[in-house]
Amino acid sequence: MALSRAAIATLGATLYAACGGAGTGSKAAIPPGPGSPSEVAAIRLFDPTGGELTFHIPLITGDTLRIEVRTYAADGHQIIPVTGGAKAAFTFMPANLASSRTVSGDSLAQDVLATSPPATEGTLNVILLFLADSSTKTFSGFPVLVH
Amino acid sequence: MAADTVSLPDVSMHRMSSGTAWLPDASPMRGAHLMLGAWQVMAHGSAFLQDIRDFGTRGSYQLGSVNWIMLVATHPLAGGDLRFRTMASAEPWTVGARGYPELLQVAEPYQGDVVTDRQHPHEFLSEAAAEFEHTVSSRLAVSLYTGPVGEPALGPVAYMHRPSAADDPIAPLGHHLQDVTHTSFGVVTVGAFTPTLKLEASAFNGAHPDDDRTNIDPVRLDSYSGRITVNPGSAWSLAGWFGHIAAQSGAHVHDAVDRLGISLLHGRGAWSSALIWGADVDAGRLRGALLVESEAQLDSQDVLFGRAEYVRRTAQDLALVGSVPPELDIGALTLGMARRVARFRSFAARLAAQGTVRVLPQELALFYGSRNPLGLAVSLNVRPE
Repeated sequence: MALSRAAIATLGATLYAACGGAGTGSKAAIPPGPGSPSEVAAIRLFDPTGGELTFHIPLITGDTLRIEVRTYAADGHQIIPVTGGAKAAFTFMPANLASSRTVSGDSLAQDVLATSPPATEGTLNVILLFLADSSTKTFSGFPVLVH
Repeated sequence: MAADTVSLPDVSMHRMSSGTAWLPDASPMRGAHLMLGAWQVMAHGSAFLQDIRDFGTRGSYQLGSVNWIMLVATHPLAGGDLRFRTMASAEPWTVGARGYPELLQVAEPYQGDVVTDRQHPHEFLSEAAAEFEHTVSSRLAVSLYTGPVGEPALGPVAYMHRPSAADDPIAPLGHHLQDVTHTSFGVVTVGAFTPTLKLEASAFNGAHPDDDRTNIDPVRLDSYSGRITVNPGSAWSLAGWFGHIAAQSGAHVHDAVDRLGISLLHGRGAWSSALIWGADVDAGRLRGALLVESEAQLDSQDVLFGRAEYVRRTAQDLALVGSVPPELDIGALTLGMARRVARFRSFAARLAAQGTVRVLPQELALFYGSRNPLGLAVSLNVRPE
C-alpha cells in the first residue's frame, strides 16, 4: 500500500512538473489589441464615463444615455480595433421599450432614449456589422430597466 | 460550565464553527485551548501555501496563500457565557485583491472593471463579534450574537470551517449561493436552543464586501434571515435556512433576492462529509447549487478528499451577458490526497495534490477552450491537529 501511494505521488509530481510546475505569480492579463471579426466572442457595454452597463442598463425617462460597445475575445481580452471596422445597431424587447440613434463619429456607440414609462423592464440586443466581410453577430439579452 | 461544553451541559464546544452555525458533536476540533484567568480561549486556523493552475482559454495560475486565524474567548457572565469572536486573514496580500484562479467562479467588480474566473480573497477582518448565551433551564438557552462584521444565520457552516473541506484551499463554485454571507458588515442574531435544536433569526447587511478587502465596510442592517438546526445525534447536523437580501446598487447585484437552502453534515472520527443545497430566488426564478464533499483520514498520515458540485450560473455570473444563454448548468468534480509530512507541538504540515474537472454546456466551450477544462493544485497546509 505504501509503495502504491509512493508511486501515485511520484506520478502526480511528474504530471504536475509536465504542466509547468509551480509558478511565481498570476498569469498576466492579455492587453487590448487588434483582432479579426471571427475573434469577437463577447461584448460589454459602457457609458461615456467608463461605467459598466453590461449587467444593468438604467434608462431615465426623458434622458438620453450614450452606450458604447466594446468587443472582446473568448479569453476575455479586449479587441481594439476590429480589423476593417465594425458598426453597432440596437434593438429592444419589447420594441417600444426605447429608441436609439447612431452617434456621429463613433460607429460602436448609440444614444438611447426611453420610450416606456418608469418600471418597464426589457432587454437590449446588439447587432455588430463587421465592415471587412459584411458579416454580423448578434448579442442578446442585456437587461434594461426604465427608472 | 464544563470546559468542553457551551452554556448547556449537552451542547459540546465541538459544535462551534463559523458564526453561530453548528457542526456535528463528533466533528474533529482542530484548535488550541487555554485558560487565561476566567477566560477560556480557543485559537483556530489554517494556512495553505498553494499553487493553483487552471487550464484552457481562460486558464491562469498563481502561487499564493489561503489562510485564516480565529480567536474565541469565553467568560462566564450573569448566569451565562459572554464570548468574543474574531477572525482574520492575510489573503488580501497573499492571494491579491483580485483573488486566486478558479474557473467559472462568480465574476465580481474590481476597481471599475470585472474580474472573472477568480475567487475573491477573504476580508482582512471577517469576524469581530460578541455573543452572549444565557441558560434558561437545564434544557434551554437563549443567545444574542452581534458585531460590525460577522456571519448571520443564513447558510451552512462556511466552507473553510467544514472538516469535510479542511484540506482543500479552493472555495466551492456554489459559494455565492450558499455561504457567501459568512462575512457581513453588520449582524444581529437572536437564538434559542436546546441540546438538539437551535432556532435563530438575523438582521444583517446583505451587501457583498466591497473590493477593498482590508477595510471595514459601512455597517447596516438591511436584510434578514432565519435558520433551524437539528443535531439529532453526535454524528449529524441538519440545517435549513431562508433569508431576504435587500437590493444592492452596483453592477454585481441589482435586484433583491431570497436565499434558501439545507445542509446535512456528518462527522465521525476520521471521516467528515457535507451535503449542501443552496439557492437564490430572483424575480420568481429559482437558481441553485448542490454540493457533496467528503474527507477521510485513511491512516495516521494520509487523507483522501473530494468535492462534487452542480451549479446553475447566469450569464451575468460569468460576465458573458449577451454571448451565452441567460442560465447555464455546470458541474465540477475535485479529488485530492494529502499526506502529513511534519509535526511540531500540536501542529501538523500536510502536502496535498488535487485535480478538478469541470463539465460545461457547449455554449461555454468557446470561452473555456473545451467542455471539460481542468485544474490542478498542490498545497502545503499547516494547522492545529
